[in-house]
Amino acid sequence: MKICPQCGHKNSYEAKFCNNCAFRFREELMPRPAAAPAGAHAAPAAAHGEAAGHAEAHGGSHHSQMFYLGVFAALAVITLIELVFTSLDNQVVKLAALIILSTAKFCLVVMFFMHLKGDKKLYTLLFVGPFFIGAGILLTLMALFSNFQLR
Amino acid sequence: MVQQAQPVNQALEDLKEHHRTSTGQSHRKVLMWTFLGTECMFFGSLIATFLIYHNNVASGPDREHAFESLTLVSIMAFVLLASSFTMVLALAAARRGDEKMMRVWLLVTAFFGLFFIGAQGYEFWHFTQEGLTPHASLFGASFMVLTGFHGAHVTLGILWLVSVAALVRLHPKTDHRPIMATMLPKFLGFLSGVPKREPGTAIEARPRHRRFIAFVREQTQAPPPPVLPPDVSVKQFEAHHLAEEKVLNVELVGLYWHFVDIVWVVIFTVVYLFA
Repeated sequence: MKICPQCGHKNSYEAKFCNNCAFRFREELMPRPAAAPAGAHAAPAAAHGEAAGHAEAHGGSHHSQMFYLGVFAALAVITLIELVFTSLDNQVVKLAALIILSTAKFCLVVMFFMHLKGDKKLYTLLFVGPFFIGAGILLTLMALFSNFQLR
Repeated sequence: MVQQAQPVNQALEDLKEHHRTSTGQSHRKVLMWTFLGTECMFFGSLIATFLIYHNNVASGPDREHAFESLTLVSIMAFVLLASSFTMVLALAAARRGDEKMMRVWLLVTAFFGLFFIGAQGYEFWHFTQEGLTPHASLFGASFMVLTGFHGAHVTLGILWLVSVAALVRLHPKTDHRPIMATMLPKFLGFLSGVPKREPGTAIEARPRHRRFIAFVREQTQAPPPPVLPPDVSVKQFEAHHLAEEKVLNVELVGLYWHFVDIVWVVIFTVVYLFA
């Protein structure tokens, strides 16, 4: 059910406009039936004004504790692999492997712990845009100055 | 009770976006992501500085000798990753309304952060003993500025975590008013020495700072409250709205903490493992 924020009239979920006052619903802001957690969370939230049932309140996907434990285990294993790779003699392979593994850890934290995966695209834009600018600054500064040997 | 609560909760869920902004997103969350974006550029510059100067060793140990043993720094990396895990558990607890577990996980996260800071302090002391100081070489200066700024971020994060654990209530009272809204005008009045305005005085007759505050309030006034369905009371709506804001407090400190963690992921690889 979609309740019109202007007049309070109850409309169907498929409604684009309110049947009573013609208020235009913004699709991206309206919760869908599947997104609203039912059952266990519903009663306490309504009865006590608690935060339960807010899993989708701020966007983003939210997972179980076991899932987060799995992500942490993956991060720990990758860190161990990184430590193993540090003993490699081939510097090119070592460098490439460490960059890949470090990027994987970075992405895991950002996507699942920071919930950027499944969250609003705006946040991805706000973070990834400056991230690439920062990476550009890094590469530019290195290209400009890394040949100088200051004494 | 449950039979009545479900439709009310559904109505609250349907209304939850009402108070939102023109973008449909919380301004605080947008601001946090924007801040984290600027932090990417900040740390990008510091890492670039380190990579440029890491071979400039006028005195003291060079990079290979300084980072010969990776035991301590590896433990620090694991601890910070574990703190990210406990942070996300704190947010999950807040989202399901479990205030006690939220507080426990926040404090565990802060404890891991304290461990990290303690280990970093020991590492700095150890390097100082070996002659690696900010004054010894450009390598020492760029290394300590980079890791020192990261440590400062961790410290700030610990203070923030403890504050959220101590202050956030997931079951707020609806008559709660932000302390700044009540204390700031009183404080300014105290500073200016102007007596409190008598009831009925026109706004133009008020002291300048009070007119300014009234102007700011007018300009930043919240949108009018929604037309609530008959089965939802104003009190229920306000409680629901406040609960969302409380969860957002935990989410924001979580975003900051995870960012500090990913910065260490990069520093760990670029500074220590590349050596």
